[in-house]
Amino acid sequence: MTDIAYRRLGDGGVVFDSKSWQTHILTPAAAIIFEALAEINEGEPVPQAQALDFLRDELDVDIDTPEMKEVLRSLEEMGILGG
Amino acid sequence: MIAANPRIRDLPPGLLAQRFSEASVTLDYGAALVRVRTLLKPFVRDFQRVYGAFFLAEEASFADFHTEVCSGKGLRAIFGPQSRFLIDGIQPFDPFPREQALPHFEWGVNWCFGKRFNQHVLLHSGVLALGDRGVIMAAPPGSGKSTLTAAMMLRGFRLLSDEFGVLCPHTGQLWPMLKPVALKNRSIDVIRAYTDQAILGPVYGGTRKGDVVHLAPDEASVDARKLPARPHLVLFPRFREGAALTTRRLPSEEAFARLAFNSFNYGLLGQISFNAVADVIDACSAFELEYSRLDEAIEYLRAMLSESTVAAAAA
Repeated sequence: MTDIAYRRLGDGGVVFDSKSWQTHILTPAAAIIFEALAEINEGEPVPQAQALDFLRDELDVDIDTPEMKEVLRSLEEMGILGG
Repeated sequence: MIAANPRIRDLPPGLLAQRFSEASVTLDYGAALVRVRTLLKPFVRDFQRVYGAFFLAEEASFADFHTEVCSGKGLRAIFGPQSRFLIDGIQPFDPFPREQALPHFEWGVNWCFGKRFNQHVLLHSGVLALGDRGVIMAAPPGSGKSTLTAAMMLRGFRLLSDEFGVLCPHTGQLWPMLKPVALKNRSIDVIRAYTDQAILGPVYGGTRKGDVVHLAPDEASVDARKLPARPHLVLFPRFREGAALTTRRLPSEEAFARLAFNSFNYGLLGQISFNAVADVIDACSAFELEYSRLDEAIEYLRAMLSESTVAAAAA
């Protein structure tokens, strides 16, 4: 997580990953998820199963839509989600 | 009698040619100093017209770039004469026909900025300002950005740049990179018809980008070339024949992506440019603007800039 710079911009957000040198653009929904997971992970990747439970049960997110799968893939790439 | 520090247009042509031949012409673009040497007389003539409002920078040992515009080698100096652009003695790209020496120089200097001026974030955008309130205008080629930029200057906006939005990552300010506005193809006639106040250079026909004419920056913009502006508006303009003026406010993350990913050196500077562009988007409203009538668009932008100032003061 120390390699990740995050900025909330309006309702969305942007992330710069200095390890991969990649920039990720977060839609408003993705920004909320990013912030929520960043809060619970305390600097470590959140295990996939724990993250999916959290999103489904706490944030009431449908994790099976193509958009959400794309968000989860990006979060995994950034190291927010673990295996 | 020549004033102590005359504008370039007021210099006797012979004196300007002599200064060029001695490599003692240094141009102050605001963010950068460029030294130029040439012996090509047609270049000096065209240069004096489109850089007429500029001054020769005081003799200084430092320049960011040392350039030369010279003639072709060997028989190319006589048959099918060419101009070659050199930066630090190196020729980075192929020669141009000699009569296109000025556009060759302009593109060469742009190349130098784009490749080597990495102490700043270089947005691919025009920048204009009212006072210190800056408008960043980013758009792909063919969208009418340069035409709108030219018209805004001709209606009293201060021109900072037509091509490079020079963003200081430390202060968040926009620095002028003040060069002539390169008008291409249809936009040449549009600006000719727009006002008789425009100082235009010769038409360079059949260049790699079609017909090109340079619009000279006005005196007010040249005199303010050392004054930065604060970003207040980010605009993505698009000309469409006959279109009514419409705007669409962009989500911030989309504006960020469009501004950052079109910059010349975003990828190179990494987190430095990430933060700098994010600061701009944080501070500005971002809009797409579609237009067909220049004055209507300009008055709309003038009002928007005033509103953004009022909003910023109230915040």
